[in-house]
Amino acid sequence: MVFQKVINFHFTSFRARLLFFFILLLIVVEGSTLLFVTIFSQRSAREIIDQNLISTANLFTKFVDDRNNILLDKARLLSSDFAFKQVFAIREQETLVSALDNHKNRVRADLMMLLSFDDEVFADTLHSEQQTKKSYSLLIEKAMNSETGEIKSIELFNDAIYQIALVPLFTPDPSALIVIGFLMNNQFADYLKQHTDGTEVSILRQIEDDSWQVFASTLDTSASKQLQTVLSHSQWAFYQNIELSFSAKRFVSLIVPYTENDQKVVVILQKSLDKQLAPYYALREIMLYLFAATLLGSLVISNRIAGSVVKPVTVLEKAARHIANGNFNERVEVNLYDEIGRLANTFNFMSRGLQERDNIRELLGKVVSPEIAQELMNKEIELGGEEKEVTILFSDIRNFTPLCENLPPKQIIAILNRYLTGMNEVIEKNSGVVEQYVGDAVMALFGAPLPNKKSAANAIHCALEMFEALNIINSEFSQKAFL
Amino acid sequence: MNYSVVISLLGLFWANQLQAVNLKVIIDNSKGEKVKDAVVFAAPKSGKNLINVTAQEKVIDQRDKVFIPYVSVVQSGTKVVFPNHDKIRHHVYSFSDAKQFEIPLYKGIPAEPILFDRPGVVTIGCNIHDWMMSYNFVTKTPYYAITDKTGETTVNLPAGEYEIKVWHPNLRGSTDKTSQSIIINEQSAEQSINFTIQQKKVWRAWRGGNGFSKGY
Repeated sequence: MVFQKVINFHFTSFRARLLFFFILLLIVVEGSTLLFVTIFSQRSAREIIDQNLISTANLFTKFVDDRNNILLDKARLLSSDFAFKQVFAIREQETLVSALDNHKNRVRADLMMLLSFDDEVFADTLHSEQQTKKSYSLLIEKAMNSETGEIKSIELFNDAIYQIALVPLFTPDPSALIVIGFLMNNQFADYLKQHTDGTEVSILRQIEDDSWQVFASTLDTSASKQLQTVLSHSQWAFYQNIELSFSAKRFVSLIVPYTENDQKVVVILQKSLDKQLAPYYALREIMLYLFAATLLGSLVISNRIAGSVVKPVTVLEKAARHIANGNFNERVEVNLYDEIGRLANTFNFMSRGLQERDNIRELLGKVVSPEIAQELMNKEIELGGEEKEVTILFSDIRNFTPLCENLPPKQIIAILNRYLTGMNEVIEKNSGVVEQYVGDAVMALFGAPLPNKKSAANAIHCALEMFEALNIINSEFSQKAFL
Repeated sequence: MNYSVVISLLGLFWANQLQAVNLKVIIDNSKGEKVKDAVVFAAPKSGKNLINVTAQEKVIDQRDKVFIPYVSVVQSGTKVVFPNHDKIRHHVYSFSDAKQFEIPLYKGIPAEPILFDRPGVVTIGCNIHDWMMSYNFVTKTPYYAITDKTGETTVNLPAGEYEIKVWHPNLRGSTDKTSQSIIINEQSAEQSINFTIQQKKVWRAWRGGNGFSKGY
């Protein structure tokens, strides 16, 4: 509709029309290109991020499994250590804690504990009095129900989350449970980030129903706090990519559950959409610059093209106006070989033709009436003549020969001119055509060259008017004493 | 020891043998499965008939890096020998409350047997082979037996009233919960008693062929 209005808009200048459509075309082409590039870039970026996040989630699971296996192996080493068994048999707590500390440092773990099957803490490397009062019944029960007594879990100690493994201490029968753990801190998150092409990793623990606490993250403190809030107030589901915006950045986020026992923990893997779209943004900037340059260039070029078209057209228009005013001598000079050049040649040819036709019409108009001349000009001439019904009027001056004998030639010619002119006027008035003058005789045709059904009546009417005209001429001659 | 005491003891032993009755014990678990290696021991309620067997000796062998038998039972005061029939050394130990001992790396027969003088469960292991494990149940009474793979065994008891109890490495709870009283009637040719015990999982160190095998 709008396009139709634009099409129907009346431009008063060809230059304006050309510029308008040039710019419109440019905007449509550049705009649609940018639109498609935007759509495809954004879709591609999302697909890449989605794939990356799934890969990262798998890597995270593998990484956690590997750490669990490492923890289990390190605990098994202690479980089989005879010296440690001896220490356990002595049941001297300080020595037991020291031995656990020693093993913790030896295997570079962050936590070691020794639990009884009755939920008693034999030893704890965190040296926390409070920890000794904490119940581990869930963990112990889980271990008791397992096939080998070896389990993995996550546990909160001193407001920090640990990835832990429990292994029975064999002396040689199961006598206690060795607990070994790695801290899940920022270092852990950083390690994941380094190995996942810069994926942001945040680990959060559910405190209440809709309240989450970040305890490890690759994000800065401010972003971590915002993430807590966003997660608490957003609709999300596990393993479903969602777009979370905070800290003026857009992140595609994948939430992976990592819940063990009563600890509800999630790992949020995030990729910056803006970062992934950086190449697109650069491309878009280049495209905008190119658009501006193309627009400027187009303006200049289309202006020149318009000028090259408008200038000869203006010349032609001026010449055409002259011709319209009857000046058929007008010619244009356009040194072009294209359509405009051909138009100019055709124009010149046309003006020459018009001039010739005008000359013919003028010549013909001296013989016949302008109407007949015009009709004759418009009529196609048939070779070989044509057969038609006409009325011929013959007239002659009575006693013209004796009159000529008594008057001088000049006076005779003056009388004839006046007479024939008057007769001619009457004949033309009655749609007749003087076919020939023979001395004082007049031969006039009615119904030729143009057909006329009233030719006979016209001829009779003409003859009667010729009498009237003759009376007037005679009275003139009498007054001038010609006769 | 004068001869009169020796003769009177032998007379008592003989008299008991004459009056002994076979008590057939059948043990299964809560799933109805027969329980192998369950220790059945009978304590006379009168406190009589307890014979001191300090002179007895028991053998817990080591072959192909396995203790044989897996479960044994001795009367307190019994000496146990741990012969090593493997070509490699073993380091036998126990940290159990009933008996703590250690026989450092050795081959063949140790110079001294180990005296098990306190009742209770003694878990025996090898320091260099984690999976090697044996249970030696030490009891005050001389009346005991171990079930075979059919979950059955027979205890030869003199006539009298007894408290019969069961112990097993996988037993859930204490042996007191398994206690049943029975009167052995000297007129009976054979008596029987059934036990259904609650079992728990007991983990053992793996004997793995490689790092991924769970062994046993």
